[in-house]
Amino acid sequence: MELRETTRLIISQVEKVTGIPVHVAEERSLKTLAVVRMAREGAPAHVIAFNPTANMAPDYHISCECGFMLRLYACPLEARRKFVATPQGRREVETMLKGPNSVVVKMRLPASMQNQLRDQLFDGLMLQLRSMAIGMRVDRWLRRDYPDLNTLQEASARKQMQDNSQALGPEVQQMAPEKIYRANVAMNGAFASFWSGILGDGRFVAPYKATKHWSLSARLLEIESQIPDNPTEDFRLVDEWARECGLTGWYAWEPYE
Amino acid sequence: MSKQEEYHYTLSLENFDVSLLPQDARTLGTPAFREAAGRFLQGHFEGFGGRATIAVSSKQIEVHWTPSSEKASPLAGAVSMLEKGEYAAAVMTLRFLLSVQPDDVEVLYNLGMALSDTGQLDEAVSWLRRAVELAPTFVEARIALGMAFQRQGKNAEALDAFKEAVEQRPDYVSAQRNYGACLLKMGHTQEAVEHLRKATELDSNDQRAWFGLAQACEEAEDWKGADEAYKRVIALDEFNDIAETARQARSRLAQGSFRQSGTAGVRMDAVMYCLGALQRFGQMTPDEVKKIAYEIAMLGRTGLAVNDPAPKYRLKSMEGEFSGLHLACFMYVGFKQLMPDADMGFDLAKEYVAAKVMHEAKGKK
Repeated sequence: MELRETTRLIISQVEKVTGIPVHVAEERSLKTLAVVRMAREGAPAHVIAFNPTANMAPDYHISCECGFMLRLYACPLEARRKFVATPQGRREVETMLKGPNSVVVKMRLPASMQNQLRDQLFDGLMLQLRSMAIGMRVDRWLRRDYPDLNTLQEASARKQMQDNSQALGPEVQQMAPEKIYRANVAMNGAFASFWSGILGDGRFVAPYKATKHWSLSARLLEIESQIPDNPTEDFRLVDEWARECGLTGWYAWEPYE
Repeated sequence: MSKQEEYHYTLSLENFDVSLLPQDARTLGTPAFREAAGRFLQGHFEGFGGRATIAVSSKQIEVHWTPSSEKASPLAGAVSMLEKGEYAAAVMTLRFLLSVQPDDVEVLYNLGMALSDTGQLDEAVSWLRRAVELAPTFVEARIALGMAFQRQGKNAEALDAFKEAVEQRPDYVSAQRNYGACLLKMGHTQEAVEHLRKATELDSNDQRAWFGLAQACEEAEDWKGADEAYKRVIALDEFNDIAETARQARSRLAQGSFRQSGTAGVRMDAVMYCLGALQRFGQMTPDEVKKIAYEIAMLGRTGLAVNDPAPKYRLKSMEGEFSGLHLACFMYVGFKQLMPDADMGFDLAKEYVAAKVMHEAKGKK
């Protein structure tokens, strides 16, 4: 697939900053729209994989992944960190799922499905925590410096907000433990508010303002506005969001090598 | 901006924050809840164009959004957030807008105002200065800059900004009002009176301008002018904080005038009125006393003319015609009996003590 000139320019920035080539590859089995696998332990290239079946040009998502890489490399080497989910977090989710009145108990889910549900909830929430707040900063940067990606960026944000709103219905709420649900909805609310402001379109944030979790969304936004938009602060930003959502200890920062 | 598309979501009732609704509509699934929740959600869509259809069932709320042909702008969205008091989100949006439109004076102005309102004054001044540099005739920005300076305690800079605003738009009430208030703060009383009076002439319903004028008149020792202006403040909206302050000021003015016309610090007419009240209330139940005292208190919310001897007041709870001072004495004695520690806002302590001594002496005879 032919990438836009802007996308190629951003990729070349990553190659220049990291000193490592970037390889872009199609990957139809991806569960997300795009993912980056940064070169470590002597790997010859960073790999950005994107899902070509997503019915949308991949330029914005690839550029977004590059944005995350550029922010990481903007930190001094000794300050770079890798987000790693901890077994403690996974265990906590498992315990919640086995609690009284949980969906696992009510539906008598077999062990294999229990583990699948646990991993789906935990991994999804950790991905959201790691990427949503920093993603807002990447989005601001792309919007400011690469306006020709605006249309793709807006389309992606609208789609994501539409998808996120599905979690507000009774089905998802019954499935997820309260703590996970609260954190998920609150982060989605913060994201919707962020984009509603940029798009001048309040429809997407309206449902969140009616929920019990809106005060947490507002707090997350406040934190984002108070912490300077400096890549070295990204770790603190994630930590502060985690603290507000009660997710401290569910992940750790490991030195990035 | 891309075209708005239809939008649909389902909200679980368990998710709904019922504390957002009136007390009598918080039971999930009731007709009152359905109506209030629907109205609440509709309210959130107002101001963004388009139309929302909301269906509240026993388990969930379904919302369908249909776009209108009108486009909303990000700046309008930010201003709407500011109007709702959502400062953090609005500031975030405005900062973003500024990063892509660094010379947009509307963005600079709104961001400066939002930062000023949230106490981030140095940055507010910096953006508002920029707005004024880019658009020297943008009077609202100049006034906002003056207000930010004032909040910083830089009254001289504030005065300069307000003065420029007045020179550019002498017919703009906000410019005249702020300039007048700043002049007053800096001790230029006569000038302050002129500009604040001008503000009330430009908009006779501007309560803050009348309040400023009242304060300036008081400072200029024009008691009558001050009292008239305070009266106007109360008449414009008698239930807000500014009206309450005006009431206290009127009471203070009346007290000053009242004491000036007494001898040896005690007003004998007030002593006699208090004595009469003690005698009358002595034959009444506490409930009857309460009724009279509260009626006078309500009547006196706009101020009793205690320095006018004409009997021009009537009460529902007590027959007769009374002067302002007479009623003030009834109220004072009444509240002394009901709530001895209450502050009546008008000090008749000396008169009350003298009347009480006379009343008790009479009782002993």
